[in-house]
Amino acid sequence: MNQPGSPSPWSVVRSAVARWRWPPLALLCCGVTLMHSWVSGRLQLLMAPTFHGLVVGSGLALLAWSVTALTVSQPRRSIPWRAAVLVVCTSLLIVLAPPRGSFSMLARHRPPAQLDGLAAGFALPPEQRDLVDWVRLLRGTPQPQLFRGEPVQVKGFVLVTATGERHLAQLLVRCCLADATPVQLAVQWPADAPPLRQDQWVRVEGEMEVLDTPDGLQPVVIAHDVTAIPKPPQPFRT
Amino acid sequence: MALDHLSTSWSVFQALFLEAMPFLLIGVALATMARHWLPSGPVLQCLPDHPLLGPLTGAAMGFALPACECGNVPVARQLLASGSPLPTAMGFLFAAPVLNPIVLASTWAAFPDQLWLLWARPAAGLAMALVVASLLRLQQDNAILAPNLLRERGFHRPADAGSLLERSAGLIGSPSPGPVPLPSAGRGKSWRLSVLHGMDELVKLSSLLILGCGVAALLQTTLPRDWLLVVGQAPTLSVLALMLLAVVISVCSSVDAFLALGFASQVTPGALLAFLMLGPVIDLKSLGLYGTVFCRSAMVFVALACGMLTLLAGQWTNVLML
Repeated sequence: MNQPGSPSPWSVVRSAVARWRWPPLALLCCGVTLMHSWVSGRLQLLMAPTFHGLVVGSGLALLAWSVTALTVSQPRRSIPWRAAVLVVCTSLLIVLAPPRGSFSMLARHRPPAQLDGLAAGFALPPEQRDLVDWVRLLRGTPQPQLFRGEPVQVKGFVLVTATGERHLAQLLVRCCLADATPVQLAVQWPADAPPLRQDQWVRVEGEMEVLDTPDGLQPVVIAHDVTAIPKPPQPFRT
Repeated sequence: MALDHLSTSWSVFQALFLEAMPFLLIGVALATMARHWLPSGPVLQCLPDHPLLGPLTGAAMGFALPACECGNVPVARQLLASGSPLPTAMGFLFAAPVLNPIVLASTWAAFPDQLWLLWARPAAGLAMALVVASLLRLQQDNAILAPNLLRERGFHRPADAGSLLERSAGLIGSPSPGPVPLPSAGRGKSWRLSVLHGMDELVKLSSLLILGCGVAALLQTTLPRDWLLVVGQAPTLSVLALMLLAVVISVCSSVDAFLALGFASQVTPGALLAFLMLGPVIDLKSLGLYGTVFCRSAMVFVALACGMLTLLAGQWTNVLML
């Protein structure tokens, strides 16, 4: 039992914790997290390269700011220690738990990407067109059957659609994963294809076919060879 | 499946947080420099308090000080804390995320063939800033500003500038009754105080940014966007759907035009304008930051007012263009 008027153990711990230099520690952790995201290559999984420099510059600025704050004497003041604890914990979590999101899940929640403004792959030979080039080409022509029989060599991840079909897809990102939208091609997989789990990255070699379906002409890649590949360091188009 | 949801939300959270943090840092750094160098009080009080000139001046400051919504909240807060008139600070707060060269350039880059959007977006953003700032000006400071900001602001305002209630409550010129982060550094004060004050502010805003990004990331992976875009061609529903999307997606105003490009052909022109008009001002990521400027009831009022004005602008655009 505490004596009347004596502080409870919890309040002693709380006031001891509140006296730590939490704010500079929070900035330090935040700066380390930003730099770690860049050094470890995680930024490439999360945002367009245009913003990488901004993140690195901010990481350096945060480190400099925190070191400056740690070296100057601190006047007695009310510090936002709860906010700082949240920032420290979040920063540590970001470092410890890398982003392993499901691109398929993201893609299922998004409308198809609009491809205006992207460099066109019209002039490229068929085997040099990537998935986005193909989709742009097929969307842009009123006669997709003209491409029937052309060789296809594309990479992407396996997207399981809402109807259970397995398409080949890539994400298009303008800013960060929050704005990612999918670009996808229907694929007729060969019988001897390796087991295709959701989000598995594969390289598909085959030929373009255009099926006449009740919904209109439907381009589909007839895959002859499917090879599982590791996830690329930059897994989306920008 | 639940694990997939969680890990995808976590990835989106990281993307949002790491992308927004630099902009927040730029905003706080600008606010810290302003705090150190700006002659708080007399000069800022000379900025216009007029319901039209004030927001226009704030909007012009936004053009000269480009920042997206994460960066301009700390700057606007610093303007208010230093004694700037409410209409000017509000004009800056609500117009700067749209009316700045970076945002205008990205809008032009995304929609070079839709010239109407190039003038409609800044015009609608400015109109919204003017109306919301004028409406807020009708209220006393203590009815809309957050208590901590009100106390900081009290140090820099002349005693006769406050309401009778504020004066009798001792809010103007009185020492702070509660914990205030730090006394104002002001001109001539040491860099040490400015650095520490800026650090405390950045830490507080970062924690709010974390909460905002968390909510936005969770909603992004649970709310299928197709549901929103299904109503794409209905004049009113499309505007409402894109307003909701803008609030949920919480993307930086300097790149939201590229995102809008993704569904521009699926929605009405009014809905497109609504997305580009509301997103930079109100979104889940920045709502927490607004808590450092406004009290809760004022935040609800601002969100509703911006929502109503956006709906109106979207509807009129559809009437004129469909």
